[in-house]
Amino acid sequence: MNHARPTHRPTGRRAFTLLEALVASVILGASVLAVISAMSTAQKLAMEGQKRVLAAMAANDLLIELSTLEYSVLRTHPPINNAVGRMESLDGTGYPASFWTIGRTMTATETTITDAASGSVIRGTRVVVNVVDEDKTLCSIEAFFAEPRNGGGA
Amino acid sequence: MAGRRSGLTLLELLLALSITILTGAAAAAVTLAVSRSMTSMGEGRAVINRSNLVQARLRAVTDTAWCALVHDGNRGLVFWANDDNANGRVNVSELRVLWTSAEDALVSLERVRFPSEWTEQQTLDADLVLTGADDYFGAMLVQRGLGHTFTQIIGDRLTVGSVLTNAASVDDATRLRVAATLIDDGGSPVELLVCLGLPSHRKPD
Repeated sequence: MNHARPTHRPTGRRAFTLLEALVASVILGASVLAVISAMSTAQKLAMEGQKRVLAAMAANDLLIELSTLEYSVLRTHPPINNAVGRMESLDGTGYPASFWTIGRTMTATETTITDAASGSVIRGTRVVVNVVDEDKTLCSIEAFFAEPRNGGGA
Repeated sequence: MAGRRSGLTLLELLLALSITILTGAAAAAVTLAVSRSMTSMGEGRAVINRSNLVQARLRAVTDTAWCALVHDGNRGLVFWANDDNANGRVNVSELRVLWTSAEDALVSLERVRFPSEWTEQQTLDADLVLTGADDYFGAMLVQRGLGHTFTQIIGDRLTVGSVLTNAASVDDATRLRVAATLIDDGGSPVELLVCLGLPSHRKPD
């Protein structure tokens, strides 16, 4: 006749060891740090996106203003260098505070381009508008303004 | 024989409760701060996207327009879009009126669109020639009354402040600087400056 062996049940409760508690704390801490880091990165990217939209607006603003100039004026236009937070229109109107994170530069250089199809050489002015923040270029637009046949009144 | 189980002491229980409450409060504070920050960022993003849209819609009018004919701070701006009738003069169908209603905080663009079933002669007869002495806004309102206009919204929760030009007279201007205010989803005003150009500038005869 078989008798079931009585199972041995510990009567005392086994607590966590210090090592287990430390491992748990490290895992919890790392998880919290990862979440905070992800949120911080997401916020930075969102801010970056906003700045880039503003930068595109600012670059387009300047380019359309430059397109209204006589060619002779555009050709010899001095470089524009608006520091970050100090942008102003071509006619000197300051941009409002919503644009405080960006600045803007412009250079106009006389150049020629060659039409690949016909081989003809076109004289004109290459305009480069860069919109920057404190440490990088956010947006860069280039445009080529062909010299009018009469030389643009130069 | 059952082992004797020891329960939590009052001190341990209080300590555990305090830690739980403090952790919960910290988590709630962080969640609230993140939520506020996300809302604020979302509002900022939305208002910048709306600004971009307003700029693009205004530019769609001005980049190809020939001339800004008149600016009235209470009513808006009138542009001569083109000379489709090839007479060197402003016909009512060539007008674009940018209404800037401060009361409704709404900016809209209105143009004439004659009924498509009209004959060419009917359209020519209705396409009145206007002069500088005419009230362009009034002419558009007359056409609106006849049901012959089409309106496009440029932006809502948007008010136009000053409109500065690079010439003494608005019809000589080739560049306009429009200062505007957008209201974001949280009700805060956001100042804007939109620079517009009329590269194909030409005044009516």
